[in-house]
Amino acid sequence: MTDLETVIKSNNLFKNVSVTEYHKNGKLIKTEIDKENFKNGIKILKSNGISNLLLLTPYETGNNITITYHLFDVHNKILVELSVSIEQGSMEIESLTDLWDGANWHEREAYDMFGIVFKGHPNLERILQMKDSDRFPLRKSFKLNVEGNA
Amino acid sequence: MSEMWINMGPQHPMTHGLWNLRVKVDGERIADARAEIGYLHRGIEKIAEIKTYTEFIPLSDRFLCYASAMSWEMAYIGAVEKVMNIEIPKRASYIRVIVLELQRIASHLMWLASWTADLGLLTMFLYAMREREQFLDLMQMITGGRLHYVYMRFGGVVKDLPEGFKEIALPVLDQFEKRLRDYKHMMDESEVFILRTKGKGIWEKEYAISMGVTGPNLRASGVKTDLRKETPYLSYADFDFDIATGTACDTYDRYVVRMIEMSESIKIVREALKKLPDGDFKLFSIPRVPPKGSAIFMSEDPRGLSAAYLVSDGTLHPYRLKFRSPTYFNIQGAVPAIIVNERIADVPSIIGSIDVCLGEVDR
Amino acid sequence: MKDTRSKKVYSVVIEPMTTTMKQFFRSLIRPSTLLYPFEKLESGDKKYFGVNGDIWSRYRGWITLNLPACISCGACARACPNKCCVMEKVVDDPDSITKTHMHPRIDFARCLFCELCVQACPVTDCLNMTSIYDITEYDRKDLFYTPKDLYVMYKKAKMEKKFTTMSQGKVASKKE
Ligand code: SF4
Ligand code: SF4
Repeated sequence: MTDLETVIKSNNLFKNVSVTEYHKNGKLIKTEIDKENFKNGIKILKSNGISNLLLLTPYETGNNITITYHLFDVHNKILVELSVSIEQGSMEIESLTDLWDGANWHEREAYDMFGIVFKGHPNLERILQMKDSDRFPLRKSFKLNVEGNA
Repeated sequence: MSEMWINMGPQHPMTHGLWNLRVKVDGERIADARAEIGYLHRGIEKIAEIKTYTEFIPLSDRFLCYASAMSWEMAYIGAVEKVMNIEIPKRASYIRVIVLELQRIASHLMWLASWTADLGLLTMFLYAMREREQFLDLMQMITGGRLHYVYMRFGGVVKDLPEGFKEIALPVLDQFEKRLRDYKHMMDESEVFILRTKGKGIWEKEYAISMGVTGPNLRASGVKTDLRKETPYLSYADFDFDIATGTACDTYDRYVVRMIEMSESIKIVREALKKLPDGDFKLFSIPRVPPKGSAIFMSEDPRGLSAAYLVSDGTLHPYRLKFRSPTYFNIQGAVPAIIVNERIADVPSIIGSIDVCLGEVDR
Repeated sequence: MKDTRSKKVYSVVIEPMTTTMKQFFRSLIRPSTLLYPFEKLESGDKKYFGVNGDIWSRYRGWITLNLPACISCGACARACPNKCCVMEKVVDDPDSITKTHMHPRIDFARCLFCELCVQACPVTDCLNMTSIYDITEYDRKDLFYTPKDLYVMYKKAKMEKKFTTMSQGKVASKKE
């Protein structure tokens, strides 16, 4: 198994690679990938030692939604920050549940909060909000109306 | 035998908060289980977007886990500091280590109390609560609060340690170390306790890793991983402590790992108090708001690996703040894997042993 | 066989009983609990189980306002995270000496006791925190304290010497 850093740097699926540290001895590799190559990229990472999905953070960037995947290698303490950008119009991306069972609740939460549809997810339903809710509260278009607050 | 679904929760002594564990029983055995969460959802990530950075500090410890508020303050403040790109003074990071480890002990004691109460060992419940009270007193001495501390600030902590704190804290630690040994002895001698915990709730190592299980639960499954030791943040590199691991992956090992962790925390606090350097407890020249950028701060929470991911757009408010709560993934990994094929009477003890805190699950 | 049995007798009967008796007598001398509404934990009280130090000197309890010292700057209201500390006009009060007569009122039902307002106040001994922890009301409207009410609390706290050290030295001072 080759070093994860060289794998990412030598593969042209991954763009804008930068390597820093999140803590001492802990390598943080930031990179971006296209939506089309996303699943293949993750598969490459998985076969090179990434052991689980640590964090899935969608956020709005203009007309797009950026989804940041933090993938963690528990044994070597390498963290990969992989950003994918999807358009607001077609909120779809492949699910990672077939690679890691642990991605299940990550994706359900992202669906619950942002309305992103994960293709291939076994039971994509709301997790934190009520099942019959029709809101996606973490989108910027959802405004909080709180008395006394700016 | 006919099978049926039973709702354990949302109001159930087992749940330690509000969540619903639906179990499918086949006689006494659990055939399947499902977790339903969200009863405590308060939308903290959205609220963060309308608060300023400083205003969110008191909320970060209230909205997440109420049993280990300090470590959540650390996660949030660590992320903001990472974006600001500032280095805190040595004394400040020592003080942070001290309060974080005191918090870890208090949190583990809270777990011990609630878990032994689940098991019916009410003596241990009272002892653990009483010990916890001492640590809350120490925290109150430092921060002025018993559960919600609002102690950390960007660049350090809000106030220095009080004068004479070392002289007061050291006897408490010594006494607690002795008692902890007694308590462990007391529990291990109890045959009922051993019968109810050994070999119950097996959490396979590979499965636990792929589900994102972290912290004492993962260490009990035999993975030697601890961010404090392997990728030291703050000043953890200066202290000498061990990582407790288990081998049997069962409820008993999770208990042992936490008991050892408490004594390791005592060691860290003692060493930090002895080595406490002089200097500032806070960096006074910090930027008013973080610049544009994003950063993740991971830390070893009492319950596992917690992380805060902050995306800042350079304004007064966080653009996006995401918390990774360890218990969320611990529950995901636990249900139904570790309770399937166990008896229904063992469910409270097995679920209790993963240290559930619903405040941080639902956020 | 006999050996293990005598070990059992020790570990199952004698040892627990000794521990129980020890705890029982200890609790007679220094109880772990107190009968709360009748007995109250006060600062400087060493009778109960707990650490042997002054744990109250930084306590974040009830907030009081020294009305004549307040300069109506509004820093406290701006610092409050959930805007329960809001500036309010005080009419017909000789204690209010500023031109605008604007002083903070606090809705304690929503207060977090986070101390951010106290730390923001630029005047020494104006907005204070005390070690008073047990004010309860039957109606949540009664927890709405106008500046005058806060001044009444200030006078009461001053008489009972309840101020915590935070109130005197502000955060900017490095060492206490
Ligand atoms: S203590 Fe905090 S919440 Fe309460 S009034 Fe002051 S700033 Fe507001
Ligand atoms: S209480 Fe203090 S901060 Fe608030 S208006 Fe008066 S002087 Fe200003």
